[in-house]
Amino acid sequence: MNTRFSLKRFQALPSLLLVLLFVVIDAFLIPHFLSDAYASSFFTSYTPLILLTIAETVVLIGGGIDISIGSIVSLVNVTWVTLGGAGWGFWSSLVVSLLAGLAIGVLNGAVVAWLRVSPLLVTLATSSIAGGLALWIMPYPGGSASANLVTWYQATFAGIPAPLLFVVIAYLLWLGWALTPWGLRLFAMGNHMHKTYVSGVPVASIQFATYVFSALVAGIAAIAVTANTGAGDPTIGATYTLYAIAAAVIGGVSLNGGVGTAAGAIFGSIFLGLAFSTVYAANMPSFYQDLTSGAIVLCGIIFASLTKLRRRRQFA
Amino acid sequence: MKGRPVELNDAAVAGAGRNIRLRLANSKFRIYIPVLSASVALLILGQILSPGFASASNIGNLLATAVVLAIASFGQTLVVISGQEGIDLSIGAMMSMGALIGVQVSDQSSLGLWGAVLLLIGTGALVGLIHAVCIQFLRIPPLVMTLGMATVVDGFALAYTKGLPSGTAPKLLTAIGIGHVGPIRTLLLFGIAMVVIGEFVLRRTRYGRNLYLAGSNRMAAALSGIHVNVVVFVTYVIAGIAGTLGGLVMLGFVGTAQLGMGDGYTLLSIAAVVIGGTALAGGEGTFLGSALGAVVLTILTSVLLAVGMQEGVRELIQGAILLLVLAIYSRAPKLRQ
Amino acid sequence: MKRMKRSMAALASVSLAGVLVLAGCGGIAGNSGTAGNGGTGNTDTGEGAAKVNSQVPVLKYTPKKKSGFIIGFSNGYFGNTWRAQYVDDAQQEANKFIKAGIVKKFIVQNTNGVPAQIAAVQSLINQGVDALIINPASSSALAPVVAKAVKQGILVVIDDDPATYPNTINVTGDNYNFWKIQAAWIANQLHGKGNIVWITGLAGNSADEIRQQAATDVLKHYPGIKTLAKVPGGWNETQAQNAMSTLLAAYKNIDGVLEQDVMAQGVINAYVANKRPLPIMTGDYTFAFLREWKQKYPNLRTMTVPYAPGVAANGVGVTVRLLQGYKLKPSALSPNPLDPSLRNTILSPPPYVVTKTAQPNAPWMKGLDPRTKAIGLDEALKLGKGKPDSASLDAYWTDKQLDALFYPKK
Repeated sequence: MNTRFSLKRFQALPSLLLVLLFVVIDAFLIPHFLSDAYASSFFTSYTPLILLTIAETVVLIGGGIDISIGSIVSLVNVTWVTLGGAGWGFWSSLVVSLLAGLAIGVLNGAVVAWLRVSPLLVTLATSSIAGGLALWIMPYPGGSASANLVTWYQATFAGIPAPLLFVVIAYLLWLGWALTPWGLRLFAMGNHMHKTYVSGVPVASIQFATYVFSALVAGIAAIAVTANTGAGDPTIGATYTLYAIAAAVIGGVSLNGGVGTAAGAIFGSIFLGLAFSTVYAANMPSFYQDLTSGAIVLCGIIFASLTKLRRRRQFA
Repeated sequence: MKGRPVELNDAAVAGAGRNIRLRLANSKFRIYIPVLSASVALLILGQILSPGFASASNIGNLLATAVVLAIASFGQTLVVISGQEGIDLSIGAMMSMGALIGVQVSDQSSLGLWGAVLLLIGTGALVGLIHAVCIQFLRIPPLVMTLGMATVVDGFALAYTKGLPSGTAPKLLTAIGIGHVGPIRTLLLFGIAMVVIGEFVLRRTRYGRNLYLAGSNRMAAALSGIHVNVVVFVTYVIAGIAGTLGGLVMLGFVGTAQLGMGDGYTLLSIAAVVIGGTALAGGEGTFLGSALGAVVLTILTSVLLAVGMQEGVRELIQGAILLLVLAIYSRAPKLRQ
Repeated sequence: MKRMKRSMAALASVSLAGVLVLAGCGGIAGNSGTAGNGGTGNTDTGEGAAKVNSQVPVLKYTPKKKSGFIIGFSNGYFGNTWRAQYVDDAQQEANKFIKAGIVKKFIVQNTNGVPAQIAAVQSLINQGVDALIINPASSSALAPVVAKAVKQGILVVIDDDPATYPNTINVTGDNYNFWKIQAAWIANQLHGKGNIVWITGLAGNSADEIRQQAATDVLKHYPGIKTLAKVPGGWNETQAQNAMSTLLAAYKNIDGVLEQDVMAQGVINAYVANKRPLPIMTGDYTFAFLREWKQKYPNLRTMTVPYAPGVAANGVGVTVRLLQGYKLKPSALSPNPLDPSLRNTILSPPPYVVTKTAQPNAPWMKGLDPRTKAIGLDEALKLGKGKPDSASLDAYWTDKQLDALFYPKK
C-alpha cells in the first residue's frame, strides 16, 4: 500500500501527457486555439464533463461505479428550470433541485452500502428512475434558465473563464475529503474492503458517502449544464455518463478501486474534450468522424492502461 | 465488493468440480421460480389491462420477441460468468454491425448469405480477440474496454455503410425471424435450440467447467492447472461471434437493417442476465436463466406499451422494478461473514 | 426458507409493477387534459397564423461579402439512415455552390446529444464561419450558443427540426400536412367508418406532437372512425413490431393502421407473424418498402408521403441566398410550429403523395401546396433507380423554386 501512496502524485501523469500532446496538435490545427476566447468556449462546453469525471472518480476510488450521474444531471436541470418557470426564486428552486439529485445519490448509496447490491446494476436502475422522472416532469425540451446566469457563465474574468469556478468548487470539495483521515479510509476501503472493515472503519458509511458526493457534484455539473444551455431538456445528461467513466480511466483511476486522483480526472476529461475538438476541427468526411473519435478514446484508454501496467506488474 | 465470496473459495480445488455439479442440481429449479412466477403474474396483469394479451398467439409473439433479447444475453452470460468484473457493453453495437454487414454482403455481393456468415464470424472473433488481449494482458477493465470498443464498432458500421445500408434480409433469415413451423414461431424454436446447446456446453464440456472455475476464483483455477487465459479468450471470442451472428437473427426479425438498431439491447441484456440469476461477480449462472430473464423483461415492456404509458413513466417503472428485484434477491453476503 | 423468500420477492415485485402501472394510468389520464391543452397552444399551426404580427423583423442580418462563404453545418443526431441521407443531400447542394465559386468551404459536423452539439457549434464559430446551419438536438438548449453566433454577425439557419431561437430562420419539413394527408387518405379508404390504431413516433418529440394534432384535426370530421389505441413505435421497426403485435392480440377488429415514417415494415411483420391479412395502412417512404409493395404485396392498400431528407438541401439553398443579401418575401414565411407568434419558418411541404396510381384529384390532395405532387408507385420507383434500399424517396427545391421565396435583387 505504501508503494501506491508514494506513487499517487504521478498517477495523473499519462493523462497530463495526453493533454499536452493534443494541445500541441490543436495549436497547429485550430486557428486561435491559444486564445482567451477559445479557452472560454472550451470550458463552457467541457466543464460539466470535468465535474462528472470528478464525481465518478470518487465512486471508483471507493470500489464502486455510478452510471446514474448523467440522469441526475437531467433531473436537476429540468427540476430547476420547471420550478423557475413556476415562479420560484433562483436560489430556492436551485436548492430543491439539488436535493432531488441528492435523493438519487442517497438511494444509490443506501442500496449499495446497506443492501449490498452490485453498484453497476443499482445505478443502472436508478438512472432509469431519475431519467424517467426527468421525462415525466418535462416531456420535451423547453423553459428557460436565468439570463444572468447564462451571461455570467460565458464571461471571462481577468482572462479566466467563469465555468472554472465550478471546477474549483468541485476540487475543493474533493480536497475537503481527501486531505482528512476520511480520505485515507476511502483509499484503504477501495484497496481492500474486507481488511478495512476488519480494522474497524465503517465501510458502509464511506460507501454511502461516495454516492452522495457524486450526486452532489453531478448536481453542480447540472448547474453548469443549465448555464450552458439556458433551458431544460430531459435527456441532456444521457451522453455524459460513459464519457465520464472513460475520462476517469484515462485519468488514472482504477476500476478495481483504491487508485485515482481528482487531478487525473480533470486531465482525463480535458483530454477527451481536446480529442473531440480535434475531430471537429479536422474537417473530415462525416462518415469517419464517429470512428475517429471512438478510436482516439480507445487509444487513450489503452495508453493510460499501458503506463499503469508497468506500475502494477509487481502486484499481479 | 470485488467478488462475492462463493462457496468455492474455501473448497479444496480438487473437489470443486463435484461441488459445482451439486450446486447446479440443487438450484436447478429453485432459481427459476421468481422469474417464472413474475412472468405469469405479468401476463395476468396484461390480460386485465388489455384483453387478449395472454392469448396463445400473443404469448407466442412475446416469446419470439424475447428470443432476440435472449440472443443478446447469450454472449453476455458467458462473459459475466467468466468473472473478474466481466461485462460486455459492446453487444448492441456488435449486433447492429452484424445486421448491417450481413444485409450488405448477402444482398449486394457475390458472397451470399453464407459468405456473410463466415465474414461475420471472422469479424466477431477479431473483436472478441482484441477485447481479450486488452483485458487479459493490458489489464483494462472489461467495462471500459467493451464500452470504448462499442463506439469504434458503431463508427466502423457507419463508415462501412456510408450511413445508407442497402438490401433486404435474405429469405432464410426472414423465415427464422417471422416464419412459422406448424403453429409455432421458428424464432422460438431457434431460441430453445440455442439454450439447449448452450446449457450442454456449459455443463458437459471441459470449457464449461473451466469457465465456472475461472469465474469463481481465477487463482484457484490457475493452480488447478486450468489455462485461465485460454478460457477468457474463448469466452470473449464466442461473445463477439454471438454478437455479430445475433445481429443476423435480429435482421431476420426486423426485415431491414438500420444504423444503431441493436444499441438498446446492451443494457437490457445485462438486466436479463441478472434477473436470470447470474451473479455479476462471476462463477455462476445459466443460459436458461438469462433466457427467462429476457422473457420477463419483454413481457414487462409489452405490458407497459399496451397501456400506452408515457415514456417517462415507463422508464421510471422499469427502473423501480429492476431496483426492487435486485434489492430482494441479488444481495451479496455481509462483510462480517 | 430461502425459496419462500424468493417467490415472495417475485410476487412483491410484480404486485408493485401492477400498482405502479395502475397509478401510472391514473396519472396519465389526469395529465392528458393539461398536456393536450398545452399541446394545442404550441402546435396549432392553422389558427395561430391569424394572430401573428408580421411586422416583427425576424432576421437582422447584414451581408458582408458576395462570395467565398464559409458555412458550418451542425447535425445534432447521427445514427440512422434518414440522417445519413440528410447530411449527404446538404453536402451535394453545397458542392454545387462550391463549384460555382460562391461557397469556399462547407464544414459538416455530426454529433449526438446536446452537449456535443454545443461544443461542435462553438468549434464552428471559432473556425470563422459566415453562416451556421443547425439541425438542433434540442429546441431550447442551444439558445446561448446560437445567441453568441448571432452576436458575432453569423447568419444562423435552423434546419429540419424546428426551434424558436431569436434572430434565426427555420427551414423545416411540414409535419402537419405530412400526417394530415395520410389521415385523410385512411378516412377516405374506410369510407368514413371503421376502427383504426395509430402507431406514433417518439413520445414527447415535437414533430410527433404536431403530426398527432394533424390527425386529430382530420379525424374529428369522421365520427364513424374509431381510434382504438395510439401506441408509440418510437420510429423504430422493432418497437413498432412489438407494439403492433400487442395491439393485434388486444383487438380483433382493426380495419386500418395509421403509421408514420420507417415503421411500416414492423407493422407488416407483426401481421405476417400473426398470420392475419394485411390491413389498410399508411406506408413507409424508403425504397425497401416501395419495392416490397410492388413485388411482394401488389394488392396491399397503402400509400406513402415522404418526409424528405432534401430539406437539408433546401436549407443550404436558402442560407446561401441570405448570405448573398437576398431578402425573403413575407409570404415565404409561416408561423414557427413551436411558437406560432414567431413568423420565421419556411415550411418544406411534402414533395410527393405516392399511391398505387397517381391520384392528383383525390380528396386528400385538396388544399395542398402546389409543390406537393401526386405520383404513382411506378414513378416513385423510377426516382429510386440505383438507390440503396434504406434510402428515402427524396426531393428538394429547384433553383427556381428557391428563388421564388426571395425578392429579386436590385
